[in-house]
Amino acid sequence: MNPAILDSALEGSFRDPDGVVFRHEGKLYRAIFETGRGDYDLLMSSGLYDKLLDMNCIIAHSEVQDLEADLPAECTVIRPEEIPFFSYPYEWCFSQLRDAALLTLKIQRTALDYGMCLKDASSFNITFKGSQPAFIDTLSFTRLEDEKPWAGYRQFCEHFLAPLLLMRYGNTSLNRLLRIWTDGVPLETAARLLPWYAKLLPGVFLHVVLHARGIRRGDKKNAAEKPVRQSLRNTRALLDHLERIVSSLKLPSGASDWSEYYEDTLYEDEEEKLKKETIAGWIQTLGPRQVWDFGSNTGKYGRLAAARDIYTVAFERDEVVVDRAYGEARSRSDSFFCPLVMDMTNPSPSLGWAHQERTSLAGRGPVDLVLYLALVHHITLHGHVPLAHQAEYLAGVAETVIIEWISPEDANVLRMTTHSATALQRYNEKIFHDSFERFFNIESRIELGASGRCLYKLKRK
Amino acid sequence: MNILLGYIDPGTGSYIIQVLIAGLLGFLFVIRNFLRTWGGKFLAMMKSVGRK
Repeated sequence: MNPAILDSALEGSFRDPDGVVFRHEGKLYRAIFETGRGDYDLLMSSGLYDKLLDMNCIIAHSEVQDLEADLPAECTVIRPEEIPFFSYPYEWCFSQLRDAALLTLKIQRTALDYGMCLKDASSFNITFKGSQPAFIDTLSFTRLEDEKPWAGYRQFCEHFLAPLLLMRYGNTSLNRLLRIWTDGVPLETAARLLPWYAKLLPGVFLHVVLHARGIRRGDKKNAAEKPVRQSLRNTRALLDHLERIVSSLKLPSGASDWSEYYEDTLYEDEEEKLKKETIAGWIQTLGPRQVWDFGSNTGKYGRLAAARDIYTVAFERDEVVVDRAYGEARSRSDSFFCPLVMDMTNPSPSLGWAHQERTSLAGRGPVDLVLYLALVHHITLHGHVPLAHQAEYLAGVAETVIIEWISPEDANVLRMTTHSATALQRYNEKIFHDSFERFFNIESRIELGASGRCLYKLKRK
Repeated sequence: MNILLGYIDPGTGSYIIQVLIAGLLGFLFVIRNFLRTWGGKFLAMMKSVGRK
């Protein structure tokens, strides 16, 4: 096997014994080794791939002949469709994780009809293309063997069901446990964290509590002593049950800290109009390929880019707000707007073996344009991140940044600093200029009105 | 049982529990279908007997 290919394995694909994902001359490829060839051929010849493509469940790929790369002999190379921004389950809101779970079950059920099944059920096999979940792992399919239980069941419960239940009955942030347990939340841990009344629900009791107990007891026994069989009818009944449980999960309704932000923020109509027009005009002139909207709330301004068919990722800390933005994007089938949960004072780090399996947020950049609107005062005064640090970080991830500066005299800023008289010593426009001019040239500055808010367009030096 | 030498190791305990849960759900599925098919006919028959 060619070490060069293994060295360039992307996103933890080196764990897969049947193939590897790599980049060659800037393009993304997947090499399928001899061991995975049979299953891949069956996926293509059985009609399952075409069916899943028709159902909009899987990303498309094309086979590549004679790639001028140093590849192992007898391997097939495919070129998968590239996703503009790769997101991870710990960055999704509740509804995104639920839709990804339902997609996995739908694919598994369809695969059974074609004599195949999913050999794993990792939530990392899915990412979002705009508001649409997309299955990306072409090598997850294998031939269905007679009366064999579903190998992905435990992983489905640990990657999808347990995090969803913890988000529903515990805290909406708990899918971030997938940052710690990158191969799924252990069911025993989930069972301990869930409240007692949730554990009384039949689905939770069966698939989490009893399942956790079975894993604890069964794994101590000798596997060879336990021949087990499962009919296809029972496998389908299991999938139906999981689907019913997942579909019925909904977040409790209610407002969060930021869900009423636009309603509560007192922009004058004229100010709001000027802000929108200026941002839209700058986006038009810059023509970025991708935009990141930091602290996006529901993504009102990021959507100005998405509406121009520019792929836009909107990052917001509040899960309830992201859930709402996702719901809206999904209802209009927006393929250019992807809202994600991200605390900008603690963005996603690199994770996994040698920090190479899940890429940090900065590692997925840089992008052409970052929107940093009415966020700078929160990060400085609440997050206690100095302006100089913000400037340096933004210079690392963006070519151009549009910043909305909020004056220290602004009513919101004064409210934030009521109990900290010294906080404002680190927050004024002179420090802002000094910090950002180390890394950026100020191309434009537009005052929005009497509130003292203004927009900056900064170009990296 | 031959443990799958696949991409993941689902674990023996998980397999056994899956077989039990799927068996229960499959059984309930059969009962439900039976009741749907024959329950209605049985009720209709009982009603017609009652009318006579």
